[in-house]
Amino acid sequence: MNVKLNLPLFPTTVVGSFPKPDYLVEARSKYSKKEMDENELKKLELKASDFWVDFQTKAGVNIISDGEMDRGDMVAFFSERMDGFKQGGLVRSYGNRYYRKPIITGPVKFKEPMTVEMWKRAKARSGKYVKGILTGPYTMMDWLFNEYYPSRKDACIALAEALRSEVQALYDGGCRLIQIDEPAISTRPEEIDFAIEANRILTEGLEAKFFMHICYGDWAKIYPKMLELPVDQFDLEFANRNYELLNFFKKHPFTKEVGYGVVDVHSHNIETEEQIIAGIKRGFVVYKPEQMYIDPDCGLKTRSLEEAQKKMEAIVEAVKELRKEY
Amino acid sequence: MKTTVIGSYPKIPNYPREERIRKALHQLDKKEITLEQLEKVFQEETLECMREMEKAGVDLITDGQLRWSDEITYFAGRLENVELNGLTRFFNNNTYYRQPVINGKMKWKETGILKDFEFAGKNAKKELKISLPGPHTLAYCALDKSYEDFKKIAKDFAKALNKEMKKLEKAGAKYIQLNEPFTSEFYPNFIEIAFKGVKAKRFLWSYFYDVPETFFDCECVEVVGLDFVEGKKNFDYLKKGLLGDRELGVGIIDGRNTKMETFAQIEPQIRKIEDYVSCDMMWISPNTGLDFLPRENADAKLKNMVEIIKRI
Repeated sequence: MNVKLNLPLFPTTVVGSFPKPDYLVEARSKYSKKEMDENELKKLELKASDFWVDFQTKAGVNIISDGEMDRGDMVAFFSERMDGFKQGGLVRSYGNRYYRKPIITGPVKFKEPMTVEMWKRAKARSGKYVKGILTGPYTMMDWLFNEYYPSRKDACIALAEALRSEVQALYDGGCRLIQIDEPAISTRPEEIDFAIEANRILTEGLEAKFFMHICYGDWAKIYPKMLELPVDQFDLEFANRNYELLNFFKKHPFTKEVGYGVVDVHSHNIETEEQIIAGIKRGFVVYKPEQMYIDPDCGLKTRSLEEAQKKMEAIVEAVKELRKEY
Repeated sequence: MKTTVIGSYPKIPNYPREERIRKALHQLDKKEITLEQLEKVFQEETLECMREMEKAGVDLITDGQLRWSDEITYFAGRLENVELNGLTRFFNNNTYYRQPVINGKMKWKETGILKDFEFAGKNAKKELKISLPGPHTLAYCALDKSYEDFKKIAKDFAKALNKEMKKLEKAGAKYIQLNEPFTSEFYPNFIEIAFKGVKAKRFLWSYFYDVPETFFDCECVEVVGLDFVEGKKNFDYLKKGLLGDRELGVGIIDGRNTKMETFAQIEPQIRKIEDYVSCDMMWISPNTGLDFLPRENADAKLKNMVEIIKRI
């Protein structure tokens, strides 16, 4: 459901994550080796979150995030805080990169709010629009081992029911801008129907603006069907494939808003204002200006602190410049 | 019934065992060890993986493909006029491969596969199979900047595979498998080109999906391997008698989920297949490579598979 916001044309925003400062990286490592306690770690997470909230505020970003300083893996963050999961062994994602893939071992149950505290803090500190962000049920299901539910669909729906409680907690805490991260959603086009059903469980009946972030998808197979997902805006990546993605969306009107990714989060290169403005204008073949929010392709956590800041500043400056034309 | 595996095996064990390959690759990156030292680690870990498969009771093993980053690039990346580019999702998995980009006419160039086989072959205590990506899958996974014709790309991949297989055969390879998760409409031509003149026992295996009917047109193939975990339609093909007098690869153990299969779950499915294929013509296997699982789960799955088959 679309909520009335007081925003300029081409609102700027983020996908969510920012790089963790060195002191926090060290602290997380110490904590995992039991050389630091939870309270000490928490203090540093809050310090880092404040840092990124202040940065986004100062830079003039219209809709900000809390920086996700307390999050590591986007699936494990939630599975570790809910019932029904156990930690799995190491699994390889590619090259020499490994992660612990959690396992669903019993009925999945929400325990207590997982993202609300950080969201509230960011909101109170900045007074700005702040997105609540959580991983979607389809991606959770696809990126977990399932030893309990009889089918992928059953696991997905159960996860949706548990995650609905988190969405409700954000809403009850005052959040009206909620982003669901679903990078896996285009993986199996034959499952898009229950992916839609599951996300409907998260969003149904709430007067909030819902965003869905999807990166690196196989759009040919799920467009325009994906427009049925019960969200107001799709946040997508365009910069990293030189805006080729626009070609997929030409074949059918894009009936929702778009979070239009204009900087490549995997590149050290800082995009110039000219490049960003040109990139936004390329989007006009598919989108009307009023449909577009401008942001990075994806979370910025893989960039250095300086790169992340410079990329965000470039976006804000480019959009300021572009707004003059309207 | 005999048992086998698809190809890949998890590269590192979990605590308290040492993650030797992960550590060695990091060390190589920081130039703390040489390529020779890395190869030594690969060899020792290959032996360990083969012993696990052998101890689990698998009849026809592979060397675990520990040096492979993914199913595609160990072969495709070495060909002339192919460069590796950005990360791409591997079919419907949460794993990635660096996409081979085709910049000109492709020609076979030496890969590490022969050398790896020479080591594994000397040290395997069970029969050893070599598992390679099929020509259609290679053509699908690559990014073409030169040929502008899928069939021409598949053909040149098939020719390169043929060259590789002939060398492997000369070195003593007795079992060779082509893996085709990409289900093409162009069977059987490129499979025939790939297997031309190859006298080793020829397996053609697909996974992640159902196969098209034309998959069965590959008459040069001696074992047709199907995914009975994901491809429920594959059962119907058996009813139609499309297998002929070939052997059947039965991918019935889920290589992508840690949940352990039970006798009650597997036995009825085997009986169903037995209506059309006799047991001595079956190769029971996980449906996919095992590199999607943690090491200990893969090991347990193989042991479990062998146990269940013994009981049937």
